[in-house]
Amino acid sequence: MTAEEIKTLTNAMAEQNDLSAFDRLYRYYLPGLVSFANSVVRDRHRSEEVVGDVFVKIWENRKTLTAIRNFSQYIYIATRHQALNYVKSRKNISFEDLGEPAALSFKTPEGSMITAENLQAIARVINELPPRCRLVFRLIKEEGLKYQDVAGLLDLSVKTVENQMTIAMKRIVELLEKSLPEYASYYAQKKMQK
Amino acid sequence: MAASRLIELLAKKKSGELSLPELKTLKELLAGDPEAELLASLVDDVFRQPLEYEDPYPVPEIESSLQRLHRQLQQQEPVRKKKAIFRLNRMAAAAACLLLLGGLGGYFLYRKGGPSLKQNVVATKKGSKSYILLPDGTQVWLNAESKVSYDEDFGKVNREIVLTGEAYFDVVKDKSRPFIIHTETIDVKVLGTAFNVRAYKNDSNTETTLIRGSVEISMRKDPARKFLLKPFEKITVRNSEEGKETTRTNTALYTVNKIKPVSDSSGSVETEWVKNRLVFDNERLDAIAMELSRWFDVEIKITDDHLKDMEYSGAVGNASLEQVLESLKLTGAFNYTIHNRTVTITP
Repeated sequence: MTAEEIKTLTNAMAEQNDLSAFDRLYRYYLPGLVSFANSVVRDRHRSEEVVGDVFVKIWENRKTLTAIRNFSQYIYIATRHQALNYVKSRKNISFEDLGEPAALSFKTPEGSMITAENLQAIARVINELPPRCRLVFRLIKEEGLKYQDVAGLLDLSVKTVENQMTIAMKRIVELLEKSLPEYASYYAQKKMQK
Repeated sequence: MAASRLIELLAKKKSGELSLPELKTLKELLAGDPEAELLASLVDDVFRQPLEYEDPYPVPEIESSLQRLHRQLQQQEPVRKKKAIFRLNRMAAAAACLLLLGGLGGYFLYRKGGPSLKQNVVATKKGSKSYILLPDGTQVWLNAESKVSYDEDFGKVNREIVLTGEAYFDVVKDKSRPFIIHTETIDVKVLGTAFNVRAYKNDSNTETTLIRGSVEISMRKDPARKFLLKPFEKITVRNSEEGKETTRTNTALYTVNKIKPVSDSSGSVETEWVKNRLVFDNERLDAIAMELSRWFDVEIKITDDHLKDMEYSGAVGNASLEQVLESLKLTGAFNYTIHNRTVTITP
């Protein structure tokens, strides 16, 4: 979902009380938020409850959604608080020590020259990243969060987030380099057309 | 292997973090190197592909949880006033800025502007604290017996809230939409990010403490009267009381003092409550009693006027009422009894 689509949905909730917009956002964010909450709560069922509570509050406060500039950032921060709140009785909660996030995969490629096989290989590389690094990568790539936002969510410095993202990029580049010759002629052609 | 500088710049580009000079560097790196250019195109392609969880949620499971949410939403729909959005969490409190304000009158003054708009109200009772995430991302920690209200169009044009009681604000920077906190006695305009305001209506003063950034304070009765606070300064403004104004001319209306930063943190005595710590710095027993009464939801009676004037200093974290009273008792000569929710302090 693009940032514009998300904005359209949140505005529909705020201005028309559109419950189907709520449903679409819920379906879209549920897997990512539960995985994120689970890194703190360490219980998949409880994490779903935490995310459910966040969405109930989002709906209750839907009139204020038009003022939110970055809904992804907002809902991840809200989930962070809700999850920490849930486990507050436990001591020494640390984002350093994340639970294992769920594995990721690419959809069947659309409009990409990269073969499904190579995309799978890239997904494997991403899944082999340390949990924190993988989470940083997903939050930036899929949720469009900034280094600063991710740093705030995970109690990391901006520099660390940048380093983690660079590590992920390095692994991807390494893999792509192996298949460079395959793609050389296609991209050369594409460039000629421009 | 691609140069590490190239990888770093590609990571930044795909994260939307690339600065203009960096973009220029990246273009130069790519221009001279067809292989790097090809690599960058492939990275673009990879990033265009949506990443999903390998083990997707079963659709029936999502739908049944949605049904449960819908039922929950219907049950809660008639509720007008919102309760605390999220409860205070001590870990979350480590961050930035603190604002404590007060004054019920501010609410009515402010309402003149747009009486047709619905308001969001978050209020705490005695003995409880709360955490609110405002739509612009600003975080608010609300102390006991306090209230924050804001219009439903908060953030659209400007960011204004009304505060009664005490709150700590970590304000998201947005130069185009100033963040203004209205209280009965003063208005606080947030120019930077971190400050602390305290204004309970039964306290005699309204205090604003700045931790970092900058804030502008203006008097409600004299809006031209403005003060710009510097970090670690506190302004104390006497709350006007009907009929008493003329008789109290011996007390200054405003004072600005330097505050003591807490050495091991970025806060000060004024902001310790956010971390669930009670801190007193040469405070009168009657002021302490008022604080304890809000904090623990009890009534406190001091039977002796002389005792009220005694001053105490000290700090306790996560303590019970008994623990606080015991440690105060150790330093000052008094006795106390607790009966139901009433504490009686006697010489």
